[in-house]
Amino acid sequence: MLNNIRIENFGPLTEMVWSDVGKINLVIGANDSGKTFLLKALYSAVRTLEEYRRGDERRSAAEILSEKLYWTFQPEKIGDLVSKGADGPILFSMMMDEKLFRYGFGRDTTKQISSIENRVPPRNNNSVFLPAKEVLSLHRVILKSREQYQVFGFDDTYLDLARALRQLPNGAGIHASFSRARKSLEAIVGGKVEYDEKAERWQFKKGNQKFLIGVTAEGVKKIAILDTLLGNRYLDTKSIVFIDEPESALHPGAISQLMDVVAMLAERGMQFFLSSHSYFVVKKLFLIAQQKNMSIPIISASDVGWVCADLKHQMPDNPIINESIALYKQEVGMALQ
Amino acid sequence: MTTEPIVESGMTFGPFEEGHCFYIEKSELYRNLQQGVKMAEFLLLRFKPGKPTTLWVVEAKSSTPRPMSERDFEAFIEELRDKLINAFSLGLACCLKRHTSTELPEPYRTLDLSISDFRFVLIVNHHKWEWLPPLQEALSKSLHAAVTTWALSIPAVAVINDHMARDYGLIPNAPFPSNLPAT
Repeated sequence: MLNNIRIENFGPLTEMVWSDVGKINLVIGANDSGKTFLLKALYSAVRTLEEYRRGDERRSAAEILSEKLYWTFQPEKIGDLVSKGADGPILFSMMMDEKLFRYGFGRDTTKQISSIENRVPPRNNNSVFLPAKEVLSLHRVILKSREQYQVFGFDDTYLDLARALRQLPNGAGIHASFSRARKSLEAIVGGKVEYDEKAERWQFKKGNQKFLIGVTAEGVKKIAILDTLLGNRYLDTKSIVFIDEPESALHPGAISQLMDVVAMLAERGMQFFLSSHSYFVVKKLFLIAQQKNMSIPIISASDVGWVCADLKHQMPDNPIINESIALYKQEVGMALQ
Repeated sequence: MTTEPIVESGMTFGPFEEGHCFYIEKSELYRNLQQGVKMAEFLLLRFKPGKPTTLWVVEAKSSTPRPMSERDFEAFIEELRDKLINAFSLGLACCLKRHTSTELPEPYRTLDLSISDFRFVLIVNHHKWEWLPPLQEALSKSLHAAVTTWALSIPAVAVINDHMARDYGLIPNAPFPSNLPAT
């Protein structure tokens, strides 16, 4: 579990300190404020720690991280990730299970990360990044584009997810902690997705009926992806799940239900980082924080930098709630003026 | 009926121009009605040049139920709807001379109901800004049938706090001189 994060001069994240992160963490802010960038920066670091010394992996943490940053952000050279106009280098540090992982590199860096310190023991867990768009329809295209042609386009968050979905259940059965969450997810969409080995394609199964993935609703596929990763045991109770715009393609009722599942999984130990523009995500997480007396840290990109708060204690001033109030005032004005 | 300020739910409304406000909840007419009819606080006529006369049906509350109590919230909305619709109905019934009360102010008696507009207004004292939009949505939804069957222009519902009530001229901005200690 990540405990705290500090980032300087990393793309749009010129200075960001998030001291007390929790099991569920929410990132909000205007378009282009760096929400997705933050999630990808964290994902790159976490996956570096998870790939380091796994199986026969011989690469150093610095080598893995360099590759991860290159294929996740897809710059010409990783030095291009240093914030425009910044005087200093990228400085990234985080505590994982109270152990330090940090690195830094300057604008001239092509590939070699010289400054890195890793006190985190090798991890056997898998973390995942769920992008705003579903990947099932493009599953084969993503794998071919990256594994066969090795071209930019689909970044590592897509490739890793496509590979994670390809992992078949290992026969150990469903992780007991996840059975309730999986039932809830399958109830939201009314079925689940399955990979047809012969036809080499995904299909959506609802009762006894099977549907082509191409004609299955986007929101259904998004929910089904999380369900599949719980079912094939790619994810476990120590996984960290990054979800970019969980609200995309989902109707408000499904958003609330998905947040309930997130809370359920968080209570089992899984950690979540969500970025969102949605009133429903913010409001539902606020209610979950109250109902469960649960800390849900929130970080908001504002004019004065990144501002931290906790939904358990307050609904912080934020552009999502403010816009709902602005629309409300507009309506009242139309009624009473 | 009244040019005196109306004190309800910890807020002081008015005073309004003579004949503009009908304090329906404290009227003899309402007192004589059979029990079980819940009533909003007052009716208020708003005149604006170039616009149809608008009749506001106003209810005031000192608080709302805690947001987490879904059943209480539904009961609260239901009660508000009943009070607002009852006050609206009683006001219209008076205008149509279905009651023989002499309390109805003169401007109401000459109101052209076919072209007048109507608003249902709830004022909640000290209500947090972020709690207002969902309350507005819930009350609008609850009053939908009344708004559509009476062909009221929309938006016909406004849920506001004391701060906004000042902005819209329901609560005076300064305390009344009569309340000030003599010097």
